[in-house]
Amino acid sequence: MKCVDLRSKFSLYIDGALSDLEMALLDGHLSDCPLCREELDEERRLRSDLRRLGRPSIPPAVAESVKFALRERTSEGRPSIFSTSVSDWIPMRLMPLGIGVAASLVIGISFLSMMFAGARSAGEIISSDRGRDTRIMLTPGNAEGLSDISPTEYARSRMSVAGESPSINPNGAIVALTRSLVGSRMRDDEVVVVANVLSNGLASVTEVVEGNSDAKTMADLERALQADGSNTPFVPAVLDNRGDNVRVVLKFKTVNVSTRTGSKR
Amino acid sequence: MVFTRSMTLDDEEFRNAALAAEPLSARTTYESELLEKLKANDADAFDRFVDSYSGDVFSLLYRLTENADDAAELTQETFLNAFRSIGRFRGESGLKTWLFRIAVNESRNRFRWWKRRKRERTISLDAAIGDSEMTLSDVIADRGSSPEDEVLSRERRAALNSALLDLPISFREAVVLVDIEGLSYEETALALDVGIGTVKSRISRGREELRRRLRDS
Ligand SMILES: [Zn+2]
Repeated sequence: MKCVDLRSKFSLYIDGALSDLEMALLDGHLSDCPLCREELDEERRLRSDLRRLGRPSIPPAVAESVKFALRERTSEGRPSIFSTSVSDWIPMRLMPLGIGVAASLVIGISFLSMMFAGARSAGEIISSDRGRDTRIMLTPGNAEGLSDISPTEYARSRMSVAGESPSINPNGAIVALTRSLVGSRMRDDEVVVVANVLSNGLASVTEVVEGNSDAKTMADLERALQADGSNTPFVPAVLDNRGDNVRVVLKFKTVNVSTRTGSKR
Repeated sequence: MVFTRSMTLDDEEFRNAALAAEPLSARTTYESELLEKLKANDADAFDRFVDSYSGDVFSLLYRLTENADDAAELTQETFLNAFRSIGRFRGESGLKTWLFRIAVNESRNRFRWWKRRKRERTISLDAAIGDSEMTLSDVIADRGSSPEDEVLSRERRAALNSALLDLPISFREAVVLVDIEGLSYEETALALDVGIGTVKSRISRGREELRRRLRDS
């Protein structure tokens, strides 16, 4: 057999993937042919060098963000939360801004208790804080009704994370806007903006990461972030014990939650 | 971003490890128990799932996409996809192999997407980082290498990286799975959804192409 025919088998030879017969045939030839031995050495060197090429390790923030995304889904369908005929929810997430927007999804996970109280009636806020990532869901169907919970109570309930992730004002303009968006023009869209939250509870958009095709939605959002009086989008800094100027990523997204299927999917 | 060097086994150890790789039908107790909980939608089990496999998935995707951002995003996509389809998973392969299969598909979808767009955002492993002289492959290789490891020369590493990048994607997938991720031929066949004969030929031809490119460079 010619050298060139045998050489095409070297790769499988070094991986031990040839039949015994083929192995014996190659061994026989190799003991006689220095050129093929050299060739085989080169093949081996390639394989061992490939193994020495670096293997990048996953940045911790990425692994945490994956966990968070899964947590979101494993807990979403819990039947105890959604006992009413809720079909559309808009969750809103506040995330601290890290290295980059993509990497800042979540930092640290701890599943604190969700505020289930009152969640069964429409128009309530459900909020959960996992580490510094906050998720708020609003039930649809209640146009103007104020939340049962006061800004102070709400901020107190999330004291451990409020320093870095500002509390939404439950009676504020963002909640109202979100409510008005439920089931309407936001349906299949996602809006992600970076905003500066000031000490008085007002905020301004510094960057639109993902805009909405509907210009009115974006304009409404900007207006809601600037609403003052008792409608400020966030609670004042003093209630949160947070800094004067906190940067957050706000994400609005429509999520369909089926109440019939409960936790099974 | 933190990088570590891969675990380096010598050839003999590596082959033994590959041979000792569990048979496809028999999963470990750890895996069976984990799988059961995943199917029951247990949130803590999903945390463990991510802890156990996200590093491998990320590393694979990084090699397939050559872009850390893409790898991060696709890692998430891979796990979300796994979450959606875990109910249909019958344990035909190990969990890692199954995840790799999803990851390979995610990377192919991304690749198609990129082909429609411009690929200029993609960072080559050998492109300099910022204004520095360092390249991404230097960063990968320089961290955490143990002194007894025979470290590849910078030139050799750069040549290997660019040869890999240059490889047709089907060869690259096979070579990365077998030679970098250390999968057996059987596992690679499952991850790529091809027969074992195809894996053998892609490995042979892939390495041959690599050597040709290394010679010519
Ligand atoms: Zn010969």
